[in-house]
Amino acid sequence: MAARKPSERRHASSEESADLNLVPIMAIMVILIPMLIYMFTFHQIRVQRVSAPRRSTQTSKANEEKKKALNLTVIIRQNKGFTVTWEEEHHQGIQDDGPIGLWNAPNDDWCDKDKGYQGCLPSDGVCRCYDFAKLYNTVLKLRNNPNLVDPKKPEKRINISAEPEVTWGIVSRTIDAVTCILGVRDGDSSSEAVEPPGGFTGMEQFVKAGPIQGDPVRLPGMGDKERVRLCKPLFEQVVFAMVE
Amino acid sequence: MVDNATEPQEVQQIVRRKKRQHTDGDGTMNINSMMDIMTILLVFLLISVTSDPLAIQEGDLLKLSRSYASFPALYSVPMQITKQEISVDQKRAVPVVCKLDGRTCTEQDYTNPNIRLSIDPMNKEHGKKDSLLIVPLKNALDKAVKQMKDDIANQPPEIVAKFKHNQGVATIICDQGIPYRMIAEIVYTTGMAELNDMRFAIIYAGASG
Repeated sequence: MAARKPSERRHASSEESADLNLVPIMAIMVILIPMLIYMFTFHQIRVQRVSAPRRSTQTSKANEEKKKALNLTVIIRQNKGFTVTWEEEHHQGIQDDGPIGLWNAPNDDWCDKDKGYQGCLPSDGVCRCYDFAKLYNTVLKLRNNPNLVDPKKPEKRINISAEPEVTWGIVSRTIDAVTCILGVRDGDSSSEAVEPPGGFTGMEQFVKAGPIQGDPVRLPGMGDKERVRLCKPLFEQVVFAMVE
Repeated sequence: MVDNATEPQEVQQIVRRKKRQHTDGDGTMNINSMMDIMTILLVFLLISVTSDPLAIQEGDLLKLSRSYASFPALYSVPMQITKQEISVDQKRAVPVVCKLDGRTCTEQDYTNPNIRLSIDPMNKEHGKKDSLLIVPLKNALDKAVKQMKDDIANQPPEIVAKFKHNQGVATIICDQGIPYRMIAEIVYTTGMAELNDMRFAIIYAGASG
């Protein structure tokens, strides 16, 4: 029997060895990955902070006597708009020109189920929106009124109440409109947002607005190097009130 | 002079083109590198989907509000309010009653803006319609708060210190169609379970500044 050449043996082994069949594994992956991508949330989840109403104590009562709290309250009326009230020296204040009514949107796109503005609802065949621009202008004016609020100690608390049928989407938008100082960019997307002088001219301008961001801060419970940029506050503390 | 310098470059380009044509014509594909990409992607997605308690699947029953609030969500007692039920820590606590024109809603009705959502008075304190306290929700929250306290107590001191700030916090994942009356009842009940700092989850819609 003749001996085999080493080169022959090498050739023979390479012909016999079979590659691992990865096609079935690939098939599973191709099913699994789109399924997981569908389940994956691409949105950023953040939170809106709300405090439960608390009973006042003796100490807080004494402080109130020194300087009466503004006790600013926004009441959301179902399909009617907003009523803003506050405490003055001997009476309760209310807007001079009555409640803030609804705003008629120029077209039905504002009420579109997917791309419409949260806070706009079709009513009697017309798309009508809660006027967040007017609400923002009103609460900003009250906050900056030196007769009502001490400029050295700006009021932090705002009460929000609503009629029973008002939905969370509208309450949430209202919280947005009263908690942060808002600004608009001047055309160029890289420029800083600035507060519109004299407030917002209307809802068309308001929908383009966003909060003016403050410096990065470390919040309780965060890691040593973790920082977050919060908005410049208008009224930091939102308290839910009940309408009897 | 110029022609002499460019000539070899052109020859090289032609040779490279020929080589490329030859390899393209081979028709083979290396599946191993594809497998590597797929495995990395699969592991990343599995970790992301399973580890985040706020990985929310939106649908007809749960659609979050859009907002530009930038406060981050922290580890706390999670509560989810959909058009069908209220759940605490992913366990069903109370059903939500849905009515449309006096009848109980069907699956198709949940997209209708005219539906009326409420909590059955039987689930409220003393069975009263006007009561703000939802008894099964209060029990579920008490249990979750106790569980969270026990979990944290067994952790090392640095983790205890980190989570101490979140003890009175409830994260509420709420559908944007839930009426204010129900929210008021939930807020009141949550406050009664020693959770006074309520944080409503929203989908961040970006900021201008």
